[in-house]
Amino acid sequence: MTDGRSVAADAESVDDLLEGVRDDGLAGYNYAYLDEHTKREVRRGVLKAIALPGHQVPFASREMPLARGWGTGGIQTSLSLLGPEDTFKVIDQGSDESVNAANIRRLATRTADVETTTDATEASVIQTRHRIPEEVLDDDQILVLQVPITDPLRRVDGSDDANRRRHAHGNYSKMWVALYENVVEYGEIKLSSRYPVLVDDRYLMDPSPIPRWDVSKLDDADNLFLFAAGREARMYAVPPHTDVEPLAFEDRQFQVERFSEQACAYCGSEDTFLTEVETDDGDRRYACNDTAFCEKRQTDSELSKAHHRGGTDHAWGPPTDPGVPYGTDGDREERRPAADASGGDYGQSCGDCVEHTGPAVGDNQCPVCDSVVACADVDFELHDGEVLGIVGESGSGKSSLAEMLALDSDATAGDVRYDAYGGNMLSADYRAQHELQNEHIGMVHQHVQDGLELSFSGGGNVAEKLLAAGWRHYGDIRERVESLFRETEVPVSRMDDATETYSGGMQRRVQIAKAIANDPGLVVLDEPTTGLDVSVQARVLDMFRRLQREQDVATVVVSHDLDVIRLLADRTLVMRHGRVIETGLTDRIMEDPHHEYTQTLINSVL
Amino acid sequence: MILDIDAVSKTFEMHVLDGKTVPGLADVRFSVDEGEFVAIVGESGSGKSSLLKCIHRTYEPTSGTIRFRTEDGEIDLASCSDRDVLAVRGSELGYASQFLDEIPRVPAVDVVARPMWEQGTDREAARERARELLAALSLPADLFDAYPATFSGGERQRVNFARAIGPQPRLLLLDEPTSALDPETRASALELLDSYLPTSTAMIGVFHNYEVVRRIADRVVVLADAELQRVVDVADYTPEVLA
Repeated sequence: MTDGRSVAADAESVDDLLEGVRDDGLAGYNYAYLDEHTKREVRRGVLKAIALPGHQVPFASREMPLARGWGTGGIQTSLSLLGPEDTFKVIDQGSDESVNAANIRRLATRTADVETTTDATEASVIQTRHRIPEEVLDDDQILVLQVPITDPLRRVDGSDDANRRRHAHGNYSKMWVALYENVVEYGEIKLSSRYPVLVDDRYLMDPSPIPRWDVSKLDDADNLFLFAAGREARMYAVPPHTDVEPLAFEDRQFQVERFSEQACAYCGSEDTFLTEVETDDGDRRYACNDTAFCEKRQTDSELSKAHHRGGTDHAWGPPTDPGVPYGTDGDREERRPAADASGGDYGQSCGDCVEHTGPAVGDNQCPVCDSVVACADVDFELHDGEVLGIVGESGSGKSSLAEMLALDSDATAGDVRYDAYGGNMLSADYRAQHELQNEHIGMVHQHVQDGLELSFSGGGNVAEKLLAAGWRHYGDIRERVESLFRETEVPVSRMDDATETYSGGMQRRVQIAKAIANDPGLVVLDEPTTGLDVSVQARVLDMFRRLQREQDVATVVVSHDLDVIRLLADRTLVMRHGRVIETGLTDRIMEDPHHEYTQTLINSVL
Repeated sequence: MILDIDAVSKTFEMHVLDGKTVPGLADVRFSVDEGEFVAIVGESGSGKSSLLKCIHRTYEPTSGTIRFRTEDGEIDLASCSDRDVLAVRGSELGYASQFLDEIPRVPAVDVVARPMWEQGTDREAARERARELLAALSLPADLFDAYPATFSGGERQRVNFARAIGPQPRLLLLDEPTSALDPETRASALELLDSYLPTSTAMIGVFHNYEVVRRIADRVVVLADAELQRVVDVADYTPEVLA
């Protein structure tokens, strides 16, 4: 790692310095793009970071000629390290060929006059985003990782100030609680990236968004790891042979991603980090994420990850047998509450979901694609003027269903046919969905802040719907809002007051006014009475039922409260584990429940 | 004939009791003509309410057919779609339960008027008719605009009764709708069935009171232990189990 001066060692001035590199295509730029003061500042940061492994060191990050988030920290670090004798490799999520990698490589070639390579064993400096190469790095190599978020504690607390105090005190209990919650939810720690690690038994560190697969490569490595975040102006380092320990419980060990029975479609490797890719004709296949190593494996399928170091004795990454999980958790089955056998299986987002997820294995998250299944295989029809109730305990998928119907969230699969649209509205384009939301579907959110802008006036909130539907006459809008306020029994005299000054019941009624403003054909109510006091609940229910009958609007009411469903809904779906387990006339569901879970639910009413 | 019940059975599967099945009704069959009043009698637990609920589809019969001749043709209430049931409830098929179940904090007059305006009657006309019905049941006029939750059992039952007969359904199911009424009010309630409802209205009612049965029923269906014992004309009926 030489610095810029070696190019023009006898330079007396900046002009001389520039003269010395003029032929290298660097006209107007200092060697390696950055000025020498900046490089010195970055190198000071690097030295401090090495001295305090895992500690976030501030540095005077410069403005760079590319967008934030494109590796400005990594580029400053790489360019401060590079000299003409260096060989530079750039990886973007495993690939040397992405636009970003190619551009950074070109910048280094033009301004720092370095050789570039795609071979991880040949490079002296490797800049990378989101991966550590499969091939073992050596003690003459530096890996520079681009970092979007420096502090692992930000996952659990948004206050950097509080988090700095936690680092100073070595108090990482809040992160531990987050891991605990993760185990409670999934049975193992399933943070998919940015897995928190303890460096040198002192600082908790965010290893940047590398997969868990790469985390173990940080421990006792021969090479130097530098992590730099340009936007946050912070960097940190893992020097060679430093202990790096992923946080985990004694009985819930750190686990890498598993690709059971899968091999790279190109080189056949089973001991590399695989990415699922979809081909043009819709097939899904797995392929090595590290494309440069994949190419080598394609010529020599037996090639060891430490081939250039003369053997396989060096530990690097997870075990090579994909059948052996990394770490053990032998008592997992016993400690976990018994899986619920009454629900169905989960999943449809990847080919492995259905087999490997579901209550039968105590999980609603797919171990391959990490997707959580909120609701699945829900079918129903709704006619004009009909009220459909959806009941189930929290987490049963009710609200997810409501959000999809209101087009507030995307469905993974399925059709929602709506007369006003004509086709499957889930696959409508953005513009059509927007129009449906504005003019044909009204949504009353459970949380008022999701449905109303509280700093706007109540009238303004209702007017928003009209404006979105193209109303442009102020007087007409006022008149319509006033009539909606009267219909929903909100005092018209309050329509110009900020919505945050309204009572909870009034806010809910303003949401209903907003939902029906454009005479929609479908209204979705998500927990319409939750959080209201009992007397107000009754008023809202009565008013809504009256409006619903008068306007003959098809309605979906989602509630965990059986009384609300009983008083509003004609028919009811009972949901559990994201599935509809029973459907029927509301009074039939309440008085003659068939499904075991429905019987329990009805019998649980206080 | 407006209603024909054939071989209707209902069993309940109790998952709490490890899937034990409890019989509610077994092989019940009888029919009801227009304008006829059929009383259902039997001891507690004999299946009287279950039978009414099966006709109303509040219970889903396990087997059998319940053919109901509506103005638009015949449907089988035991097997038709939920939507068909919803379509006939109200205007064609009415049900008065023992207990009032309504949205809280709705005035009594609106509780009674709601089914009528939901059937399409003008709001004020429905309220007016509701007041007349409540008055006929001697509910004090100053209670019309009060909330039924604060009423006595008898007052609530009157509101409930008025609500059920309000829309003048072609077939009315009555589940002990006068059990909490004093004899005088009960008499006016039964009077109202005659005067307010068209003569073609068919009714099936569960009553515990022999005098009531004798006064209004044309025929009597006797149930015991979920099974149909006999169907007899009221003149031939002797109340061996009635108190």
